[in-house]
Amino acid sequence: MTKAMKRVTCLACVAVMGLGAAMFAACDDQGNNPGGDTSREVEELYISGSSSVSPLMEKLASVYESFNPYVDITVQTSDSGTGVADAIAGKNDFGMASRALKDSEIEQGVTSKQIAIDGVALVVNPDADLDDVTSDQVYQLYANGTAIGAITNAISREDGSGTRDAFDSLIKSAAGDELGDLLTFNACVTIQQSTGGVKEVISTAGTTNTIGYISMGSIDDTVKTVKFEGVEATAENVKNESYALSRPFNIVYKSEDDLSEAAKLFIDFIMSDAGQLIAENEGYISVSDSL
Amino acid sequence: MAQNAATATKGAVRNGNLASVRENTAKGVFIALAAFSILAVFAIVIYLLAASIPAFREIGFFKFLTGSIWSAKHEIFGILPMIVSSLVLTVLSVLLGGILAIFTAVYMVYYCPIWMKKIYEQIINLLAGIPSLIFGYFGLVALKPVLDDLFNVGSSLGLLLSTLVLSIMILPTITSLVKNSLENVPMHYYEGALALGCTKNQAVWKVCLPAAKNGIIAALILGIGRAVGETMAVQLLLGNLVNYPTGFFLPIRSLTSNIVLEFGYSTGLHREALIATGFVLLIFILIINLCLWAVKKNDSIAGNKFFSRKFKQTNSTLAQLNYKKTGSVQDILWILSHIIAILVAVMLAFIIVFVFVRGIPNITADFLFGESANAHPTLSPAFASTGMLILMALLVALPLGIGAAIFLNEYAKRGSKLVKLIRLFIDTLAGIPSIVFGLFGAIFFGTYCGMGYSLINGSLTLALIILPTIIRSTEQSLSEVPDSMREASYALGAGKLKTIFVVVLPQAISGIVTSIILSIGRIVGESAALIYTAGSVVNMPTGYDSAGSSFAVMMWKFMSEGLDTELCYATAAILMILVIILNILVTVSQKFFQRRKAK
Repeated sequence: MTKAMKRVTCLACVAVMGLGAAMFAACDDQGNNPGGDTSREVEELYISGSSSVSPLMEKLASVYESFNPYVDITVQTSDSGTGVADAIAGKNDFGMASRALKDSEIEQGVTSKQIAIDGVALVVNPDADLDDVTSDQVYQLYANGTAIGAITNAISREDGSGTRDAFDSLIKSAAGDELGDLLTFNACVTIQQSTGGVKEVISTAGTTNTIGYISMGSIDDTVKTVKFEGVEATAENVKNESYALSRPFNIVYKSEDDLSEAAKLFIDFIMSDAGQLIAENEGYISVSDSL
Repeated sequence: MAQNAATATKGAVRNGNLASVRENTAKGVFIALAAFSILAVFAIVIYLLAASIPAFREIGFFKFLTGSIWSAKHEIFGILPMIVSSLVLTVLSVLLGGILAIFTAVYMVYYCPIWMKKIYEQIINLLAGIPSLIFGYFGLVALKPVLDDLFNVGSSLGLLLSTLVLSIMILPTITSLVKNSLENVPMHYYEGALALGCTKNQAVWKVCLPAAKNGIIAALILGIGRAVGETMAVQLLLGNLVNYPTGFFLPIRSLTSNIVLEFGYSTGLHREALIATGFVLLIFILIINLCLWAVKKNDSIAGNKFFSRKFKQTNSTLAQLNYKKTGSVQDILWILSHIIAILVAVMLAFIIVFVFVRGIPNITADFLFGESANAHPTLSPAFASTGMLILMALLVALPLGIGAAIFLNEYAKRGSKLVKLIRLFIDTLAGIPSIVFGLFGAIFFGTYCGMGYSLINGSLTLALIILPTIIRSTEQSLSEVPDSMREASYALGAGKLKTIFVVVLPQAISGIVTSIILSIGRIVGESAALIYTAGSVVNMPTGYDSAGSSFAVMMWKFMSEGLDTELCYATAAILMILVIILNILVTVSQKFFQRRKAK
């Protein structure tokens, strides 16, 4: 080997090792079996789907993992469509969907189980002068650009989003027209790809003319919720059905029998009082009657 | 490849010479590596076409292209408003960005002191390295409120905001290319103009700038390609309602944002229609690339048109008077170029300050290195995922790229048809927007090869993205190795293969190192191509078959649910620091190799 060749090889090695070092150092933590007990194998659960459900699922998973060290749960965040498609293809243990299954999906042999309810809250900037809206007002703003007081602009989500599905089918005009039947919105409406995008625009200081809608689990003090038809957007009101804007959080799988043992146990945990309490704590509404 | 090797073997048996078997096999391998870009481009075109045919068939090709309504819910798919929006947005940004870039380039080449020029080169490189998501947030959070107030509109999301941000984003590309072609204008043009009594400003604006016309046009076309393909930033700023761009503050949707918005949610016909959108986008890019190719071709044959054209004979005293009068115009341009150059620097400073002010207070040791878990996301998986993506993408792309560069520079006859063809395809590959690579990765590696959301899928997609950079950069430094060194090596009895690996390649190491660093920069900032290939998870990757998120994807993910906005900016700050470090690395390594060469 010539000197020059050595130099090239050396350089390549250093580069490769440098890159690898970070990766292995980071991976090392995970390789260790918790508790030092090597006799039990770690069971892996792979859950994929809706980005609306995943914050709740991640929370549930982290609590579950903390007292169940032999389970390793991976939550892949994308969207309801992928969650269902993965479940159909058998690529995940179960999928997450923030909407009811479509008929075309049920035909392909999957079933869903509701794990929580999510309210959809209308939000404005904390400085905005708006407290209460009616369904017709919201419809007229999105469809025709009719301002609600100082609110002249609105934000919607992209077609296919579970939040938008719920919103579109629940907002109706006084004449009974559904927002979802429109082919397009008025030009005062902009589309953001994520809850974060909606929040980012609305919470920016001085943006007091814009209304949007987000999952109730994502509400914090950067935005102000608006009453819908005179009803406050709270978990109790969603639960007693006085607040109309809500949608189901579902998990999707082929059938109970197809679930792995670990997946069944995790689902039992989700449906248990403890799991449902976590959902309530995170701002969602439990599906359990005992809470 | 096998065929090439076979013919090579046949030839060798005839010669009965073992060494020539090796030489010929090597040559075959290098040709195959070089031809890989052709294969890659064809694979992308064919797979996207095949995947969009169902949509074209079901919707109707012309109905799809000329329809004005896009509503996935009602299964109506027409993309004409998006085509028009993409075109208008591109034209406006290239006009604005091009003007800014040309002034900046003139300032850098002719007006600023040498020490300042070095600073400006850094500024331009840094601006080029900033991930597009950061530009997007900057536009959304910092620029939008300003425009809202300035124009007194309800929401300035739309054409104007996107044009402003996009023109800053394509500015570095155009500036550095215009700068190169200005530097290639022979010194005696400038000196000659001065000798004829022109002022410095007249010489710069009326002689040197027109002389670089072809280079400027090529730079603008490249800028068009960039602007058409930009995804993540415009997606945040356009407002995304499907509209014709009839006003500056109307929300519109571009082809790219249509894909990235809805691809995840789509199934069946909707998904096929989105892939078809990607295909239309790809066709646009191919057309733009052909234009670029035509301009370049023109350049080499016809020489410089400005100086071969006939000058009008005019009354000389009148012309002189006129010329003196127009001198004041150039003086204004001189002032303008200074103002714009300062503006560009201020803009960069603004973005950096914005990211650091928002991000650095949120960086904690736990967020950086703590163990990541569900509901407690940290960046340690991002370190691992990004490292793994970089490693695998380079492992795949480096041999391909270096091999191709060796073929182009050492084996191929200069100016041969094959070389031209390969170059055309390499340039095409370089121009394809990352969202199209993402689509291809999701369909081909993900679905067809069954890789799903995985780091290996992401790495292979990234390898395709960085391949042209590696080929070009390596080829450049191979061509700088003097022929005398090769001849000396032959004279000492070394074969071609040995000469390449022992003599030429070590000399070209600087180009290879630069291309590695540039590729790392590209990978670190990439998000559009990774979201639908490598996935977005908070977990530590367990291997190349598991999903993993790089820093940029993590940033996107933190933003998505709006629960971790602080983490999003913290990640942005980390990304920014990485980009700065990579830029410093490029400069230092180039200096290092220059010094070694001088020795």
